[in-house]
Amino acid sequence: MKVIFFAQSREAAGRDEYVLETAKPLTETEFWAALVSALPALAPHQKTARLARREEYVLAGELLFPDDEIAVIPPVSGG
Amino acid sequence: MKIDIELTQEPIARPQTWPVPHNPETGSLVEFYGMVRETEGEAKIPSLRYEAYASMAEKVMREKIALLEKKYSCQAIRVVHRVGVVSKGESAIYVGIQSKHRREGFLMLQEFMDEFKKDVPIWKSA
Repeated sequence: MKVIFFAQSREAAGRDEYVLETAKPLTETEFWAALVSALPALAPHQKTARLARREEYVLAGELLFPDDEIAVIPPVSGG
Repeated sequence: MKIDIELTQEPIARPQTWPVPHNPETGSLVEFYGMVRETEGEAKIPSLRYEAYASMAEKVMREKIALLEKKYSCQAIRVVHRVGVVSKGESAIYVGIQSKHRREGFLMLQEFMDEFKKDVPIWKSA
């Protein structure tokens, strides 16, 4: 599962993207547990960031699949 | 509804020029320029840096506009958002809405900006 980062999440991750190895679909909770395990500096973002897939926000309860590209979206501040 | 969305590294000119012919049914053009303030609390800010998840930002904006145009019968909307470094006093965003009468234009602009600030993946940093 490819994970891409923006703004504060990119700064915390120290990279633009990361490949999260998983063979099975993940709940959002499982996703964050695996991601924070690999990149601990992202832990504070779990409470504030939203996830997006195919440029749409992931809704509560949706599973994340191994071939998904997941964007970690910190609180937005444009305009 | 005619929709024109642009993310640009170039300064947003004031006033904006619309790249489309004037619609003879248009009786109102409501415009908003969001500018970089020189101060934020006690701090002086020379500039802000904006970054975008560009493809998603445009998609989310189009979805918002599609919902809003069911409520407000506007004829055209133009949105320009700056990315990169934006100096104090310069515009970070321009939104213009053409409609037959002013009321729907004002209402749509207000609601579009509220929705924009909630969900469009663009970020600013000092």
